[in-house]
Amino acid sequence: MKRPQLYVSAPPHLHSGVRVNSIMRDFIVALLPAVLAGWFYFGWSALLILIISTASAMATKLLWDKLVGRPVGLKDGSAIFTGLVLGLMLSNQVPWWIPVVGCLVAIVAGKELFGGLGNHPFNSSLVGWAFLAISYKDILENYPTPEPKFLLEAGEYLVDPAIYAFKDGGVDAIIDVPWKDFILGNVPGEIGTICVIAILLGGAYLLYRRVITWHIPVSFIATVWIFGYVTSLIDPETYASGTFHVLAGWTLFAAFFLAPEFGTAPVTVGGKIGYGIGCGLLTMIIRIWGTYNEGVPFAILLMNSVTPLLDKIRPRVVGRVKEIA
Amino acid sequence: MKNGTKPKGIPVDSASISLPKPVGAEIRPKRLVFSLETSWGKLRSLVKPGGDVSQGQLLAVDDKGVAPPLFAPCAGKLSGIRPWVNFSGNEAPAIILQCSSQTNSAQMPKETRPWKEMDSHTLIRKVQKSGIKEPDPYRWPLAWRLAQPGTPPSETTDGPDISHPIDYLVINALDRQPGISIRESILSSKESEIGDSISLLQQVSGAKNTVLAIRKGQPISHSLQTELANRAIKIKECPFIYPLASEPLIVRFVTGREVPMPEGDSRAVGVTVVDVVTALRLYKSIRDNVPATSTLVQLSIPSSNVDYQVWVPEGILVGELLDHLQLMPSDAAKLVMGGSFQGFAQHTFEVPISGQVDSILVQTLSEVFTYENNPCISCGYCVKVCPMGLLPNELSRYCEYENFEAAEKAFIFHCIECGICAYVCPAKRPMVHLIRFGKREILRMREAAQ
Repeated sequence: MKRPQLYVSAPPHLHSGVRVNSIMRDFIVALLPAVLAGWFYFGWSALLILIISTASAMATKLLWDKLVGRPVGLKDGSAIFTGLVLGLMLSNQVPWWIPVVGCLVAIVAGKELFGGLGNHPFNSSLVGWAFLAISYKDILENYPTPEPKFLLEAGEYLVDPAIYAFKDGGVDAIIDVPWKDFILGNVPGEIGTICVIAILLGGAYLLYRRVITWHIPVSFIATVWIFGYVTSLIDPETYASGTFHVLAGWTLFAAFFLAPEFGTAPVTVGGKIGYGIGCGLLTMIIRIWGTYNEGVPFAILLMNSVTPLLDKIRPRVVGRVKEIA
Repeated sequence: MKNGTKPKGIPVDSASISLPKPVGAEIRPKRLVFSLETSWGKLRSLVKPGGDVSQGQLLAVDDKGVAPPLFAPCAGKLSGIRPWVNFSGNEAPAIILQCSSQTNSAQMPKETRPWKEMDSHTLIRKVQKSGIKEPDPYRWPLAWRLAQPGTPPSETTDGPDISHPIDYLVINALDRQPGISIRESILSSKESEIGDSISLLQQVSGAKNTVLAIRKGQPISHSLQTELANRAIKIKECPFIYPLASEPLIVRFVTGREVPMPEGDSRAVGVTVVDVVTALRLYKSIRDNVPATSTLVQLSIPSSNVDYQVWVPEGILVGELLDHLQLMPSDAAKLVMGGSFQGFAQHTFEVPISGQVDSILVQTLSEVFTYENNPCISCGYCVKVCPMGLLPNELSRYCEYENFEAAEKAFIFHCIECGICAYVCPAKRPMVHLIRFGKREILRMREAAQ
């Protein structure tokens, strides 16, 4: 009897259906509230920066793959994510070539030179951002006061991002800013990092979809808060509270979108928690005693470099102990 | 009883369980094939090619006395011994039996005593002689795992150390993999025989504690509950997580003891795991004093909505079974024996169903998924689910780049090949394939070094 031809493969013979592109789609969806918040506070110029940034990341990826003769890997969506994140970390006042240069560095030096997605040691968006921040500091640090489209009045307590104000003027400079302004994002800053509520929405979506686990964000945020709480207990005149350090600046944005980037963050539970704590500690040390205003980006880049070590904190292997009961 | 830690794995939706429909069709096979290779050694055929065979006759034995012997499920003629593919896809010498329509049974020695009156020494030999093979990849055959100290199933020095008494007898009613539900279905449909089946095992093993591991929320009738309580059988409800039913994990969850890996010899820590279907087959074999030559398989063809459970004679070819039940799909693209997560894909339908097979899955082209072998993206999803606490991402890379020493140090032999790392891998890496490749190469290197 004629039998049908059969396929042979190693098990398993099923797949969960979660692919790289679906993960990246989830990441991008999670960023949409922050994108909307950027448009709400900074208008169409913010969207333009994001579009330039995303498009130049995709173009760089396309050209690079053509140049090295690899199949074009735009389908997995990782270039879109890198470009979008980089755009969200910029002010809407930057000239058009800033995101273009940033994405070129992010994609080529941050990612592709190391072998692409999952193999780069440092967060690719932050590599691009760090290049810009060091080379074009004055161009980057041009933060307008947000102008909400409707409902809200412009926040009037700050003229610089909160972390900058704290660095220059100490606790007195930020003590009057209501928490409401931070939560709604009604403060000067970058396109995507100011609106706490939008970032939390995106983070909750990532956790709900199980794209990331809670370990890195929670240990990161908790460390920042505890560090701020303890220092402000010691000297409330000099140090801002833990809540300020969590809500102001990049802390939340980084905890959900920068720190857990695949390939640059540890994969074991112990490693993730150690990594989150390390990010939190370094963030606070740089913010309080360092020369940079915002401690988050360099804290993450530094912690990226110890990720391979943190991955040595392994789970206990079942059946390793040869105990005879 | 110390409770084991929370098991890792992938949760299975209990709403997805549909018990397979029992099929009572009497199957008269034309031809049966029995592989002479087992994981405990080669069997020696006792019948010459051309020789006549009666039903229940002993066909082949392990001269070392470890592996269970082989019996003929039906009468016929032994047409030859030649290489044949077995359920794991390897070719090995096999006995080919042409069945006849006559029913001349082998003269079994009359056994007048009921099993309840036999001592454990007699019983353990009967367990060995039942010829039972099991779907789980246990380290030792059933009889050796059940043997009490001082009552070996056969006179051999190659068997395991049985000097340790059995503290826990775990009756496993959890199904091995998502999509298989024969154990659950047997527990609900054969209630009247379950109690006796477990009692028999208690009597053979002399176990101090007996635990029936069931899925949380699995319905158990009141009468069975009372019966189990009367026989001092505890019920342990387990979360519905794959691959909790695997031996090292169920032992850890139920008893809190850790099975030393990679040997996987639970008898060494005083625990014996037997699944309910095997318990029932053994009980029937000893009660009726016949070898256990028929086995229960679940037959799933999702494309034609087929989900049957059927008792088949061991050795029947899949193709013949499907033809007999008129279920052979014309658009079949993949034949998997042993479950969608751990089963072996076959290149032919002429594969015999042995006692190690508990499920047969036929997929059509649209259901077949292909691996892509992309580079690892270090998402850590496999680490999150690995039930053995390994780092599959690291292992798969070590094997891919042939860094076998590192793989060995990273506990590659602790891997039970449950396959959930590949199931969740967003890059669609063939994780199990890579790990198997690594294990094989390491074994080869060890052999070469000797």
